[in-house]
Amino acid sequence: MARNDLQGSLDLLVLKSLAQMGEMHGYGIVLHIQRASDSLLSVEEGSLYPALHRMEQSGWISSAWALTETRRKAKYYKLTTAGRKQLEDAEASFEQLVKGVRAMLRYA
Amino acid sequence: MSLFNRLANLFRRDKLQREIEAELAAHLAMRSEDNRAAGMSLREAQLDARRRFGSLTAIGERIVAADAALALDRLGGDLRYALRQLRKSPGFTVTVVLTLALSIGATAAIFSAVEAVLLRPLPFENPDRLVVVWQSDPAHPGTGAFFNSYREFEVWKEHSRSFEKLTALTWAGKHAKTLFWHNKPIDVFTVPVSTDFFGMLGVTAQIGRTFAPSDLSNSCTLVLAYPFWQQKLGEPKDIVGQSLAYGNTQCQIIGVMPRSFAFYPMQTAAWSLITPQSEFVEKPWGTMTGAFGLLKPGVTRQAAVAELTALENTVLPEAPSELRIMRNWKPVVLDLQSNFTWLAGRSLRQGLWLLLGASGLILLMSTVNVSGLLLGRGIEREREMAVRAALGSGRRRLIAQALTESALLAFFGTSAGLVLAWSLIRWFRAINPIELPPGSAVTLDWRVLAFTTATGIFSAVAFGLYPAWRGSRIDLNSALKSSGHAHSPAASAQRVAKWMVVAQVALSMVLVTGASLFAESLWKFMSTELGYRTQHLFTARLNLPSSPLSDRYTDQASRERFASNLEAELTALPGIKSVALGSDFIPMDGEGLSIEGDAATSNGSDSAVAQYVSPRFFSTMQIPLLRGRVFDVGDREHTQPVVIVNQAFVNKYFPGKDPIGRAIKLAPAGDSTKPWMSIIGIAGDVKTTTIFRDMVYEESPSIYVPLAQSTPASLAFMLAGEENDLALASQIQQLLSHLDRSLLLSDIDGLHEEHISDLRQPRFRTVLFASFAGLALVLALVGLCGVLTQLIVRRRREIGVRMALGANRESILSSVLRQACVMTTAGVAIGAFCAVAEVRLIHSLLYEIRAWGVAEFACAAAALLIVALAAAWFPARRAASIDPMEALRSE
Repeated sequence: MARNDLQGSLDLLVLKSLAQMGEMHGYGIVLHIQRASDSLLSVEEGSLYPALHRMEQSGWISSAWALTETRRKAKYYKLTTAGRKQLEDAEASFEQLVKGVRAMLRYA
Repeated sequence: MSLFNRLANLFRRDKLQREIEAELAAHLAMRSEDNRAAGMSLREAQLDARRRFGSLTAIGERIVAADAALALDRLGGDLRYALRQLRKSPGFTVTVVLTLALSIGATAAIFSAVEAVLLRPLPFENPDRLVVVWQSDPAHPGTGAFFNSYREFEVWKEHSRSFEKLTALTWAGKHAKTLFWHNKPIDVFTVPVSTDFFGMLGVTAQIGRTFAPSDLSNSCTLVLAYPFWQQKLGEPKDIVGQSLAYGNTQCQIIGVMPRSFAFYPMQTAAWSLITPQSEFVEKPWGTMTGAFGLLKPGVTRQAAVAELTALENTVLPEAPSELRIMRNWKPVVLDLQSNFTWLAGRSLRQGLWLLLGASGLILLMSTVNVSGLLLGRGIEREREMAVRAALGSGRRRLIAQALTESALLAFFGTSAGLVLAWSLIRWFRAINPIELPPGSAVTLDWRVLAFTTATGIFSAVAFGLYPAWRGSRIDLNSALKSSGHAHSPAASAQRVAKWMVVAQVALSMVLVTGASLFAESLWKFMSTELGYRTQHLFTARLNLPSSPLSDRYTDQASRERFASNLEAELTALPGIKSVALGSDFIPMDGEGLSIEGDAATSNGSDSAVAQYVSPRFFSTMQIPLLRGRVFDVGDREHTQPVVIVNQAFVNKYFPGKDPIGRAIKLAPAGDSTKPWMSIIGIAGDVKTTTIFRDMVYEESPSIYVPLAQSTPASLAFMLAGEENDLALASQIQQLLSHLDRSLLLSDIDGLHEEHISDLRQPRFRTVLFASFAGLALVLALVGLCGVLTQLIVRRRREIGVRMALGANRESILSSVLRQACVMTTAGVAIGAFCAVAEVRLIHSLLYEIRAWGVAEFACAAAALLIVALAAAWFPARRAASIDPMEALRSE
């Protein structure tokens, strides 16, 4: 059974961002999610890093230090194969969640 | 994989921390750059970046939590935290560690003795099937009181089907032989055994071999005990094949047993072989032996007893008339290990369990004590806990942290306790205060280690759990708002703390009562008038070699000549007031008895203890003559046989009659080989100890026969000296060698000292119990003092108010003391209740303690009250000296 919770959706957002953009640092992910969702979603910055580290420990993403365009050192994350697989699962389970919630809302 | 990553991160925590900081810093920097670009001032830009983020430290922690193997890392953190906390309050830490170390150490040390003596199997093959067969006295059924006759052993060995092996070993009679080693006489305590004795135990010799059937054709073969070979013979490596001379016989040495081998009796120097030529086989009814057997698998001891009794009954009718008394005896089959324990000390088993129980009480007390101290500390740290809870520490975290602290304390306490146990065991082995059965060396082995560790864990959980649980249930609001008064949740903790004090007082009451009962009964036992001189009196024993070297001592006349000569020579020694000769003073078994004209005693089933004494025995021993006369030089071999009996004898056989002039015989009336002896006097009773129980005196019927009319081959002499000068021994030995170079003085002892050494076990028990009681008092004192101090800290404000309203110092002082008295009295009452049960438990170890020992109870209660008041005095003074202004202002 997929995890239908908020943490799950943060994971999904991060994984999806990395899948769309390739390598990104944490701040970049925050900006990307904000931009891509037309500012509908804003990631709580404090929660992002623990999530990143947890996903890295789980082997879904990998990280490396690199320089930004402004020549600042930052930690870049990218998806691993396991991460892609995880993203598929997460997307599927999110679809389920959305369907389920929608069905609930339409019920009259 | 992920677990591995997390574990790996544990070891790079610092690096990880730096990386996390760098990562977060980069984030913040990028955010504030963007903010600047959007037109904010530098300060605004940075503030906004920070605000979006929340607490950096908290997030850092959460990231680490995601990274590291949580539990393990937290444990490390908790340990560091706990260590820091403990270092901050060294007084508390030292008190707790010391309390735990003392109780755990004492318990571990006692357990090591229990383990060695009662739990560890004997170091032989099939220890669970090894048994010993003795004869029991009808008055003490089930107790091995007597040896079996060798005839009974022979019958059992030949016909019994219960045993895989049945062997003989005996120390009945005198086996201290004087042998010659390279022409020098040495006392050798020789224990005769049958061929397969060592084989049955599954032990082999260290040098040479043990007995084999081929040795039966030699007249004397010996296997040596290690200590004898090492200390008396000087460890000769080429010992096998050498011999010790016994008269004209050469006793060939065929082996030496390993150092670790020991068997009863402890003083065994050599084992000799029972051969078909020995007196055992030649006079099988007259020689006595123990029977040690290995039961066949599945055969119960009851079944064996039934079989042995039946077999014995087939031969008993052949027994010579003077041994008819043996018909009253019944064989008992006892487990070898428990019999060894019994032989080492009648109450050794009970005593050891009792001491373990006492140390368990101490352990319980110290656990309660430490728990109370932790609770008090928890109350003091309530605010800190509340703050931490408010900052988001979960309840589990708080419990885990508190338990870590307890575990750390228990770890230190247990380690220190082990060191203590180790030194106690070393001390015990060095001074050897009580006799332990052979093969039960007290050591700190893995079982003791395991026990101690378990004890430590138990105590950590026991003392840590409640305070930890309580500490986690803080009501944040009240804890943070007030610095505590009666309505705060600490009040419930204080109720528990008070009950803890009550429990401690109750436990101390049990221990102190026990100790005072033991001490008093020991004191009574030692100071009992025994009915004879105990000061400046020495006894020594001497064996007249009945065989080969010369035929000097084979007949009564020559033995008597030697004895009177010896008595004269000894009297002439300087420093000696009076000398008497006799058979061993405290004999172990009785002889048949009949009384002329009394049909009830004529079949010889009665017995009495007979001692053979010289005329001056009574004056030397200071045993009063109640009526009639003592022996004199006129009572000789061919004059009328005479006898003196004691008051107990008169009470038993001549109640209300005058025994003087009546005749008795130490055999059934019809036995014409023994003479009728006429009673010429009545002596006072002498109290002796019994072989069946510790701490009991008997005044058994005894008979004194003149040495001149019947001189035994084993002599004891009693010397009343001027002072306790054991240098006498060498003088006496010189004198003996002068009389006959083959004579050896086997031992010389002050009679009083000998009597005292009988009391080694009760004394050891009493000393230990008293130390436990002392420790208990100290613990109760510490506990009470600690709890009162906490109560006063809590009541500071209330006391301030009361003083501001006019209460004087005395009333404050007395209110604190009253509180102490209430707790102590409750504890004493509960303790007294338990002590009644305790008295029941230990009653058999006590001497002349009657009426539940009311006096001892009162003493113990008084001692506890005094200690409690002393303990309460300091906190009470502190309470009385509270400055009301300061107390009120500090709120």
